[in-house]
Amino acid sequence: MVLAATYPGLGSWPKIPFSMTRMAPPGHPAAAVQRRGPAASAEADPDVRLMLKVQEGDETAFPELFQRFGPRVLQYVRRLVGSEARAEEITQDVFVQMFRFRDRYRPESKLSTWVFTIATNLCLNELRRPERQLRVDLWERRSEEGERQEEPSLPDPDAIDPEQGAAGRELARALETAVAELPPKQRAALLLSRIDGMAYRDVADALGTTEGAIKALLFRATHGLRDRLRDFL
Amino acid sequence: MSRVARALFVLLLAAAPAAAQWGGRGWQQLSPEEQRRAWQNYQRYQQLPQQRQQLYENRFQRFQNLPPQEQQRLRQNYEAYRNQDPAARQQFNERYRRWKQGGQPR
Amino acid sequence: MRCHTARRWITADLAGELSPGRVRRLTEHVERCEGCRRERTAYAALDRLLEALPPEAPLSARLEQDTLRRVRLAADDVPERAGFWRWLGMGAPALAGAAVLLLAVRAVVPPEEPASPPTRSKQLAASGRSRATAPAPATARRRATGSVPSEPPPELVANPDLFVNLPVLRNMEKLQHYEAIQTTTLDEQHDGPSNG
Repeated sequence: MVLAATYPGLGSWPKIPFSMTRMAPPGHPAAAVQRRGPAASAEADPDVRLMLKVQEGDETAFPELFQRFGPRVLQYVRRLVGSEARAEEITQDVFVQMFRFRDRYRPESKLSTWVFTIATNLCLNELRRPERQLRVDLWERRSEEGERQEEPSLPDPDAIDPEQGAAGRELARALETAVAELPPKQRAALLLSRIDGMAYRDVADALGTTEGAIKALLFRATHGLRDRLRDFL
Repeated sequence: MSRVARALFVLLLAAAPAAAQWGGRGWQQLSPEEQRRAWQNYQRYQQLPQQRQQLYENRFQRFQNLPPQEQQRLRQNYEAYRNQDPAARQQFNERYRRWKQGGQPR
Repeated sequence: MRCHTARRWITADLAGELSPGRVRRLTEHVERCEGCRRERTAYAALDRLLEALPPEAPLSARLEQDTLRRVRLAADDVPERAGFWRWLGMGAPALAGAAVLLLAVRAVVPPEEPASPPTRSKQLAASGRSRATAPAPATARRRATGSVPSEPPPELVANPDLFVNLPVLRNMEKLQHYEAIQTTTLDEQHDGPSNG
């Protein structure tokens, strides 16, 4: 019987580390990796418990998962891809892939790492498209008061709250722009570690590389930001 | 039949050839399996944004204008594409991106 | 210690990655070197700025609805109400006109119409009649278990090949150039030279 036609897939198969999938049979070296501790303690994690409910077919679990991770994923994708419109589409793609490949998630791994692995892969695929041009439009719709100083003054570095005056907003805007101008992998490493607060090991998993490579990416990213923000810092 | 209904019916008959031309085969000409697939795809289609629906409708018109053997070739390629395992499909999509980068004629 | 080395250690120190011995040496250097002291202040400020960036973006109701709808489709869940009025706005003016006329005919022509030769228009009229008498598109509410409703929506009946071939249409470019794509070689690296 010919199966009903389904859409062949949203993009590349997510490059999820082998140890994070259920594909490793017992006794396989990947299955023996206990990076997050025994399964019992992993399932004490509320995120993991929620994902297990999704795997079991609980229909209320996935909407809750979306509420829990959606805001972070959306923000991450917006900053990594640099396009408001595409960010929403890609965010949808992330969650659809999470659902489609739900049985591949292993509770021994952090759910956030798995989620951001999928998000990173989809974003990097998007950025590799030949017709893609990075548009930094994240601030265009968000300037509320519309007051801009003629000459941006050097803000007090300790006044880091973007809502503290026009200078603070200028700095925050410059920072977002500088982040958007970083090369994609540097940007991804920076966003995941500095803004989402992920450990280097988890960032390495999400980007499919080593901790050493992540440190190198972060070093270059930080110095790149410093150079771009020299007038402000 | 009242005069008004008859007039409307004539107008309807005038529109019918255009509809038939646009649609190709009739619903009853589909096999049960094709009807089932069409029904499922129809449901998915309903969820798409208007712009995407229009895109597929335009493509359908182009598809209808292709020679029958070319239509069949595309269907066969789709079956081959659909039957690939995920790794092979991923590699195909990477080749597709590479092919597009090479500025191949469309 | 040279400033070049100190500046490399500054970011590692702020990330908590520097060994105690190196922290001590860096601290001694920074106390003596104004340039490196300024750099350390700048990197510390940059760290605080990054940490202050909002990690979350607000989700719109539309994004949530669209996402969960797609997930439901992926699970072959119950379909949403079919867009009857959206069907009227479809690209083929003839079809739109036919739909409006169908409703008008139904309003005028009594149900016990004398038998007439079956035509395509009759098929459209028959399905249009059922839709006109049932304001709620009940067929669209059926579970998408693969079983086709006894009265499929007029849009589907009018253009079955569009929906049979929808996956082909979605992948049309790939399928038209399938053989050429299959023989395209892959490079080792796709990324540009500045990609981290």
